[in-house]
Amino acid sequence: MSATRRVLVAKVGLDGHDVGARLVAQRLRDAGFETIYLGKRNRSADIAATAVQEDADVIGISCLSGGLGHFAVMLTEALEHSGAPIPVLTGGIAEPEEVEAMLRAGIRRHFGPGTPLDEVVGAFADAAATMCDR
Amino acid sequence: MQSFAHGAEREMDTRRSGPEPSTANDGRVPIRAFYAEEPVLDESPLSAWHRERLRLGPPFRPKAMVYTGIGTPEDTARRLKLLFDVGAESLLLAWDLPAQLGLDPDHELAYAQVGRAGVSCATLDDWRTIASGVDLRRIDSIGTLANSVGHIGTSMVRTVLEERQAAQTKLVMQNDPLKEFTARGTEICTPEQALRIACDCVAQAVDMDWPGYAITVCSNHYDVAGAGPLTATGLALANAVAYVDELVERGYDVRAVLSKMMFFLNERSDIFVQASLFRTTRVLWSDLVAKRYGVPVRDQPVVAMMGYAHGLESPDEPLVNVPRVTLSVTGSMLGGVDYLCAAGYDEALRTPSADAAAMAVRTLQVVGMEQGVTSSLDPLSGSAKIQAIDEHVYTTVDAVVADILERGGGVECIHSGYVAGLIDQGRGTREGQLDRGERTWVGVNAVRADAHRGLFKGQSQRELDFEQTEHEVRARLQAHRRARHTTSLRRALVAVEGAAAGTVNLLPPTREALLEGATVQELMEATMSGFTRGSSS
Repeated sequence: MSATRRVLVAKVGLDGHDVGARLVAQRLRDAGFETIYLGKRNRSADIAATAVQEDADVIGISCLSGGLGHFAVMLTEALEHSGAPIPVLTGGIAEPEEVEAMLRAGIRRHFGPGTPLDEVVGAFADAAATMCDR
Repeated sequence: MQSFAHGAEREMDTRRSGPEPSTANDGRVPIRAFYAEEPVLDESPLSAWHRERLRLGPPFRPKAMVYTGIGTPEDTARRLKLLFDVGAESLLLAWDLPAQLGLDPDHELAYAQVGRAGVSCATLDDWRTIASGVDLRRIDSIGTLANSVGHIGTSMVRTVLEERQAAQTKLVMQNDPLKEFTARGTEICTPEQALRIACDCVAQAVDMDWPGYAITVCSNHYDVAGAGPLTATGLALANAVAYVDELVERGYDVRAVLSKMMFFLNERSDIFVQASLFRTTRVLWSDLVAKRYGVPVRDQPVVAMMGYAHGLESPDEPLVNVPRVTLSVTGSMLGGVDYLCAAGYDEALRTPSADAAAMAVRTLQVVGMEQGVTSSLDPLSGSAKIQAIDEHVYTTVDAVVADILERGGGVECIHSGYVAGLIDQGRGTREGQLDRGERTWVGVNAVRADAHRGLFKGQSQRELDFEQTEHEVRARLQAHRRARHTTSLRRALVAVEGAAAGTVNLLPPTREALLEGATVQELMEATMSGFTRGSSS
């Protein structure tokens, strides 16, 4: 696995439950990704700016307190504004219609609670591969 | 609804088997209230617990507590009326995250977070509206999380109880901010400032002799964050020591402080370990108090325990979470929990819908009132299996507590990163066990029937338009601000800031400011400003 694949993981909104985000970050690191975990309470614009600055190949955001769709769409807009088409994956609790809206807005994949971590890591690898192919 | 405390006036031998055996089962099998064979010893923490609870008589059922809150204050008032109509007895109100973090709903960070993980509550008027759904004089207890903003939450709860002539209704405040730094994430100030806020709440409860619990020290969130239930309990006990030490340092009597403190424990994977955790923690904490503070067991208040029954909940077949939670409720009750919430079957999907929240109350009632789970006190006592588990739990948790105390205590170990490191070590244990097939998750890693998932969906669905909620509460807040008397409000907030800068208890000026219309954010800003001024002077 190439060490150049870099992932940014962040919590959005005010949710402080970060066991899922940290687990994903840990598994990505174990799978050979260079993983940056931004921690909690991040604004979408800040995540986009950091991803561009850090030359991230994929972004993963998480929120369990509701509002994930709102932040995810804002993030895709911020990335588009920056001219950085970095794929975004989301994890957390979201209503079905919210998930549909996120996917329509360009979110690559969404994972709900209980998703096997191997599946999540595989999706990050696929997303990173599309960036490396560009 | 059946009354729990109906046996308070009964005369009974509390050192033997309790009242006459009950034969209220199909086979008319005599069931005693207590089965210990040996005389009760005064110096045993379990015996002290047995003695007190037997005085009340069976059933030995915890209060049916609901943890709820969603949308606007009016939405939550309606939800509360429903849940108390079906028999809830105790309320732990969920505030939304902006309120828990000291932000008003129109703060820029509050967008898309208002009324979602709990109810929007920015003012005393909001709390009055929320509580309008409850007969405060008839319920057992009421509280909210308000960990990092404990002085504000506690002042709101007590003010409304007194306004509604319900001053004798017990508090069940969480007010445990130390765990927020590493496990739950609503920390605002430094650990020392957080400790000050929490201890001001307990001190005021002691000074005013408020009934109930001004603080609930939690292992639950450490467990959920990844520490696992045993390390989590050790971390919680070490935090409890930090709170008690601070109050003793202020000159408070240890027994008075302990009488205002409850524990919130968690285990969600094995009902025997779950039961053991509750009964063993009673012993461990009592031993710790005797050793550290020199208070013999017979002079200690019996520890109150709270739980929140969860299982390995699945979002794919939510209705199947009902038996999971039922078993978890059973394990908690077998262990002697005093206050118990049950998870809604849809909690892996959303804040519970009305049917799921009501089903959770019914689950507590069925396990507590039918089929004999609560007919005998401490029914697992004497089991070789539970004894072995107890010994393992005691040794493991005790070692964690000793380790933390040796490293300077709960606050120091937040600063040093040691607590975060312990959580890191445990994180992923459950997921690894599931991945390796060491544990079974019905419908997920065993007996999958994906084509039939529709059978297990339940009726849960999204009930609120959260954009509309945000719009409503912001408009309400703006109207509230316009109606206030700004001079007296400013004076009240200056008093809060002054208290924070010094050592005067934060709660009295906080209450006055609330009555003048101060918002949660204004109060927290005044508090933080005072803390900053106090630390620089």
